[in-house]
Amino acid sequence: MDEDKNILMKKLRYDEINAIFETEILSHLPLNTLKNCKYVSKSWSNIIKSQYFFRLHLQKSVLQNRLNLILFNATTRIIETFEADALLPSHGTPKPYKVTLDQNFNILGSCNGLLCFGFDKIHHGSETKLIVLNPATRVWKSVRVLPVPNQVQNLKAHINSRGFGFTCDIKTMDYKFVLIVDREIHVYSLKSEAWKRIGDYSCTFPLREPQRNKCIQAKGVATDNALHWFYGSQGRIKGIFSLDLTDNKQYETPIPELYGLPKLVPLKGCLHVVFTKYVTMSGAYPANMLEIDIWRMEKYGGWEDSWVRLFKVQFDDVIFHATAVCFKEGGRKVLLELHPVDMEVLRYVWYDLVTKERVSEVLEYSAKIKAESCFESLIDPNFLKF
Amino acid sequence: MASTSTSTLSRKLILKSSDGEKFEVDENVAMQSQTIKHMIEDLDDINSPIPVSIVTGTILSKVIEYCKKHATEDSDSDEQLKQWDKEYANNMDLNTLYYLLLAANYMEIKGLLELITQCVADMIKGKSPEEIRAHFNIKNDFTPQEEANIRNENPWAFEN
Repeated sequence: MDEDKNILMKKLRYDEINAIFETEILSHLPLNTLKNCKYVSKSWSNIIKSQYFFRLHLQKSVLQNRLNLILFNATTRIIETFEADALLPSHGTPKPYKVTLDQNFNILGSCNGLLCFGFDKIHHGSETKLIVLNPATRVWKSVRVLPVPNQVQNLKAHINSRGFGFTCDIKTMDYKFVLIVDREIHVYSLKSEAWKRIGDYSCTFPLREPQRNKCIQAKGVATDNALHWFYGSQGRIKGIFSLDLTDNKQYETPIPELYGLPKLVPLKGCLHVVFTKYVTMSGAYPANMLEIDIWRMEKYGGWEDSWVRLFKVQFDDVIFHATAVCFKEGGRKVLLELHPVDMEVLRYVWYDLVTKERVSEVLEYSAKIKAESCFESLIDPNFLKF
Repeated sequence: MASTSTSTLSRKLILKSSDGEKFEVDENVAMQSQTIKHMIEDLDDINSPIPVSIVTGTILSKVIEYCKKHATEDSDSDEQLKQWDKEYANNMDLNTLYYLLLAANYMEIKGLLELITQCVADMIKGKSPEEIRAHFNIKNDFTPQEEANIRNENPWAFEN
């Protein structure tokens, strides 16, 4: 075995090596740079146009946590895209953009860089429409959704749970819109363009949106292959209802008994709950401050072994109510939406949870908008069937 | 057989580059490479040098430097490791980066491949198409007509 397997080292030209790795290299780039790359050569142009590249690029976007902050005004139907990291208008999409939407459409969910718009009240028996938009490329598709099939009314349904959500089943790359209505769980597959009833809502408590006492349609948050909602009773959030779309299983995970406004925030495929609470400290030096408590859900089930507390931090320079929008740097930094008392504006700002310092400029915006975080991606809504 | 190494905790392996240079490394360092991991499984005699056929000594020493750092990650935080990666990659010229890319690909070291492709990608950022072509020695194979067409087709239809 002393034979030297020395292969002649051919002097490789850059472009030859590029040919092997260029797809991999290009997939690291943000959209604003890729725009220029399209004009470099035929081979680069073809790579950047391919559906395979779109998916590889999305993987990198998720890995690098390349998030956009989407600000949507439901009345004017205008969308603005900001790079979440810098809170600056996204380079690729510098101008506000009016989306072609029906009146009263809302963002029903965000997944893989796609936003799903529709009515947040969908009933049995009526046809509806969804708009799937990639806010980064501004490519959109209108999806006609057949009426939800009428089932025999479940008379025992004393809990009127309503919820919706938008996610992608990674195994089949099928984008799905989930509707929970009258205890029935219906899933609309964008691939097969059909509804499927996958079971009955099994949770004892109805779905809830925090801070709302009345039962309304609750919006689900997507992580890898699953959707998550809060459940509770009389305005009190008790836990998280999860629907895993790979096997259609349902899970209930009680959340730690904490005061404050909970918010579901995904990071690296894990679900996090961020409690924000505005507290008044009495004593010799009374002070108002914001307290943030972040928990990661490790698994479904009981709360003792499901949750890991990541941070509990008090910011004494934040004198407003706030909710969390998204994380960066592995959860070390959190983007907060601050709600000043006058209710006229919203403020977005990054905080470092370790140093407890503000680490960005403040982005101030009209309070009429709704914020959604969304991965930067090239995924084309017109190719969701493939 | 008895190892020449005094340490019994970690076995030593000998990697041999394409130009015959030999490197003695800890097994856990070499195991960062999936290719070597598979080779060891098939090997009867662990003491004979393992040929890394297409990688020269200069490049292999750089690959080993990376693997060593990433085999003993317990001493550094994620952030420190990231910083180290950055400095490691920034110290290479483009030619070395390409050879490292080939080596990482051949030796199946996912982290290194990711690091180098990211580093090359960073060189593309902020450059015009002409600057990119000049930097990477890429030929513009569009006809003027094709170039005009591609600018018009604009798959990201938000420029108006």
